Amino acid sequence: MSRHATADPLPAIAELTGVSKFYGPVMALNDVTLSLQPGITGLVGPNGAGKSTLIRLLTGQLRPGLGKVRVCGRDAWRASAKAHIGYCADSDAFYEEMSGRQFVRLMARFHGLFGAAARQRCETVLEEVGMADRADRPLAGYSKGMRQRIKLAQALLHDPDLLVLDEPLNGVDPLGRIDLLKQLTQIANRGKAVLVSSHILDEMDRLAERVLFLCRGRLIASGTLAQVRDMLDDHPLKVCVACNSPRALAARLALHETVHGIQMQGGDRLILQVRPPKEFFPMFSELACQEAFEIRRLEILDASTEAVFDYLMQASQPGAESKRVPAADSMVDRQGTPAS
Amino acid sequence: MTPLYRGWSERLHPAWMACWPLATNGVRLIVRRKLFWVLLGLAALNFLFAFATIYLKAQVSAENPSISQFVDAVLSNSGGQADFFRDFMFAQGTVTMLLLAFAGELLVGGDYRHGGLTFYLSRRIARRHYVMGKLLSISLVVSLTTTIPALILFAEFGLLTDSTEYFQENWRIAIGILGYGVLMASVLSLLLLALASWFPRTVPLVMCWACVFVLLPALGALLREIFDDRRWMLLMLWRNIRMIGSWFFGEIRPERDAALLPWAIVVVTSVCVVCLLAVLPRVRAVRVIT
Amino acid sequence: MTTAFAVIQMMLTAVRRMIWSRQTMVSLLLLTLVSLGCIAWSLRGERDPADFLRQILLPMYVAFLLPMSCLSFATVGIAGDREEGTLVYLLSTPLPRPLIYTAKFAAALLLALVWSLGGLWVLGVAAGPAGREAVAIAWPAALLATLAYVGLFQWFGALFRRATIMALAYALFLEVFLGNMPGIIKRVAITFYTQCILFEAAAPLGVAPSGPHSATIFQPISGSTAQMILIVLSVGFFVLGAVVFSRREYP
Repeated sequence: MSRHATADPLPAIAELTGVSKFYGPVMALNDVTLSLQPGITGLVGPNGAGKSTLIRLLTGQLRPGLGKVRVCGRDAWRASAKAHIGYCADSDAFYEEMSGRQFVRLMARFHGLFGAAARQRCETVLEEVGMADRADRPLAGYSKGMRQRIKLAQALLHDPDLLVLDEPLNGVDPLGRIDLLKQLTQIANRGKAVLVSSHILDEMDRLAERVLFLCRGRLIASGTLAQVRDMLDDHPLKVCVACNSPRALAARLALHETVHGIQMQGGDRLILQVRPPKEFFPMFSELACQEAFEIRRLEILDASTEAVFDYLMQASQPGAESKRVPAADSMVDRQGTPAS
Repeated sequence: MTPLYRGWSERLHPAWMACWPLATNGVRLIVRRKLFWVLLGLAALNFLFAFATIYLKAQVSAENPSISQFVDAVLSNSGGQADFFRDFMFAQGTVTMLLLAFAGELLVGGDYRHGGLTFYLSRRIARRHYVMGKLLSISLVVSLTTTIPALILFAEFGLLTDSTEYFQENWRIAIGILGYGVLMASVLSLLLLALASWFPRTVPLVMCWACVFVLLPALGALLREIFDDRRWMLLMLWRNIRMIGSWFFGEIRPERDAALLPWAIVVVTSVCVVCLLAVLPRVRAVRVIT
Repeated sequence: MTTAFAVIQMMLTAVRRMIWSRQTMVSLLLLTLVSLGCIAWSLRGERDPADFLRQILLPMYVAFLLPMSCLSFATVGIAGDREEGTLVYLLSTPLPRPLIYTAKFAAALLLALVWSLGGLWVLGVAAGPAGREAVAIAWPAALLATLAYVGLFQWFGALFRRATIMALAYALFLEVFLGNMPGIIKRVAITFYTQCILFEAAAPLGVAPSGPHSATIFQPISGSTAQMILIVLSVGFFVLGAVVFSRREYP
C-alpha cells in the first residue's frame, strides 16, 4: 500500500470548495472544503452525516446549493467530468434480466467503447474483480458480493481518475474483501484517487491513507489517522507496552507527567494513557535505553479508525463539553487544509 | 444462551391472527398516500351528499309534510328503498374500482418487488395466511367505501323515523347491502390479488384492470350489437356483479337481464376460481433463477 | 462519433428492455382482444369505413388503446429507470443529459409508433376492406397523437417521482372525464385534438360528432389547427422534458 507523504501533496483530482447542500430546510452538507489526491481516502460518519450527499455531489448526481465541486478541473455536474469519474453506487439496482457480462459490456458502450475494444476492456475489468468465470449468469441470481463486484467492474471500465465507492464491502465475504481491498490498492497505486465510504471501520485502517470524518453535514476532521488522532488532545492515547519488568517500568513511568494512567495487564504488559504523545514517545525511548528495559511490544491501541471515530463523535455531540467542540472543529481550517 | 433470551412463555396466537395486521397495514398504507385522498374524498363526497339529503328530507317531512312530496319529486330515489342503496353502492364501487387500480401496486405488487413476500413467509405466516390477509386488506378497503357507508345510510333512514317500522319492513335491504358488499369485496380482492401478483408494476396492472373493466365491457357492447345476443353482456364483469347484487336486494336490474342471472353467477364464480388458482403459484418465498 | 454510438446504444437498450416487458404482453393482449372484435365486426352484413370509425376506432382505439400503448412505453423510459434505481448508471456516463433524454425519447417514440400505427393497421386488416379504408383516413391522427402522448408522458417521467401514477391519472381522469365534458375544458385532452383531426378527415364519409359528442357540445376545431396544436405540443413537451431532465437532480 502506497502512503503519500502529506508534506508533499500531490495535485488534487477532485476538489470541493465551500460546498453546502440543502434538501428543503434540511442542510445535508455545511460548508465542506476538501480535496482528493491520488491514493485511497476513506469517508466515515454516522448515519445521516452527509456521506451519500457528498458522494453524489462528487459524482455529479447532485448540484451543490453553494460552492463548487470540480473533478479534474471540470464542474462535476457536467458530462465532461463524468469521463473521469467511476461510481459504484450503494443501491442494488441493475438491469436484472441481463447477465453480468452483458451489463458490463453495455456500460462500456455507454462510455463510448465499442466492438473489440469494449469486449477486451469488459473482460479485463471482469478479470480484475474476479467475475470473469461467473459473469454469464443472470444478474437476478447473483449474490450480494457478486453484485458488488459487477458494480465495481462497471465503475472501472473507462479507467477513471476518480473512483468513488459507496459501501463497496457490503455483503462481500471475508476472502472477497481481501481481494477487493488489494484491487483498490492497486488502482490507487496507478495514481488514481479512490474515495471509499464504509461502515466497516476495521477495513478503513488497512485501506485508507487519509480519512474524512463527517458529522451532521460538517467535515469534522481529515488527514491520516495518526494526524487526526494526534489532534484529539482530550483523549489520552492508549499504549500497550510489553517488557521484561513491567512493575519497574511502571514505577518509572508514573513519575513522568505525560503518563496519565497505568494499568497492569497479564504478567508482562502495561496499558498506558499518555498525553501528549509527541512528548511521551521521545521520553519513553530515552528511558528504555537508559534503564535497559527489554521492550517486547509497543502498540497504540486506540488509533484505529473506529476509536478515532468514537472520540470525534463524542467531541461533536451537542451536549459535549464546550472545550471539546472547538478542538474538533479546529481540525479542519477554513481552507480545508488537513489537520496536519 | 441465557434463559432470559426468550422470556415469552405464553402461548403464541394462531397464525390466522396474522391476517388482521396484514389487512390493517394495507389500509394504513393507502390512507397515508395523498393520491388516494382524492379518490377517498370522491367516495366520501357521495356519501356525505346522500347523508345530508336523507337528513334534509326527514327534517322537512317532519316540519311540513306537504313539502315532503315536493322534495320526493325533486330528489327522486331518496326514499330509502332498495334502489337507492343499490345505486349508491354501485356509484361507490366505481370509485373504489378506480382506487384499487392504483392501490394494487401498493397493496400487493410491492411485496413482489421489494421482497415483502419473503419477509412475511419467513415467519409463522403460511401462504394461505398471506393470501387471506391480503384478501382481507383489499376487502377492508372495499367495505370502508361501499358497505359501511351504505349501512350507515340505512341506519340513518331508520333512526330518523319515529318507530322501528323502517327496520322491520326493510330488513331485506340490510341483507342486500351486506350481500352486495361481500360480493364486491370478494371479487375485487381476488381479481386484484391475482393481477397484482402477476403484474406487480403499476402500468401493466392498471392496463389489465382497465382491460377487465373498460375494454371488455366495450367489446361486450359491440359484440351484443353485432350478434344481437345479450349474452355477450356477460363480458361486463362489473355489470354481472351489479346484477347479482340486485338479486340480494330482492329484484334484478335491469329486469330484462333476469334470464342472465345464472350465467352471471357462473361467470363471476369462474373469475374468482381462476383468480385463486392464478394466485397460489405466485405466493412463494423464494424465486429460483436459472 | 463515439457519443452518437453511445446514444444509439442507449436507445437500442431501452427498446430491447421495453419490448421484453410485461407492458408489451398486456398491450398485445389488448390489441388481440380488439382485433377479435374487429373480425367479429367484419363478419356481419355490409360494413363501411364510417361504421368502423364510429364503432371501433373512436371508442376503443382513440379513447383507450392509443393512450394506453403510448403510456406503457413512454413511462418505462425515464420513469422506469428512476423507479428501478438504474438511472444512476445512465447519469454516470459522459453523455450530456439532453442526449440521454433524447435516446430514451427516441426509443419510446419508436416503439409507440410501431405499436400505435401497427396496431391500427392490424385492426384495419382484421376489419376487412372497410377497415383498411378507415385506416388510410385515420393514420395521420394516430401518428400525431402518438407524438404528443409520448412527449407528454416522457416529460412526466422527468418531472414527477411517481410519473407512472401521474400519467395514468392523466390518461384515466383528464382524458376521460374532462375530454368528454361540454365546453372548452376538453381542450386539455390530447384525445380531443385527435378526434378533431379524425372528424375532419372522415367528414366526406359522414362521420361527425354524434350522441353525447354532438357538434354543439363537442365544439370541434378545424383539423389543420388540431394538427398544428399536436405538433406544437409534441415539440414543446420534448423540449420541456429535455430541459427538466438536464437541470433536475435525481437522488
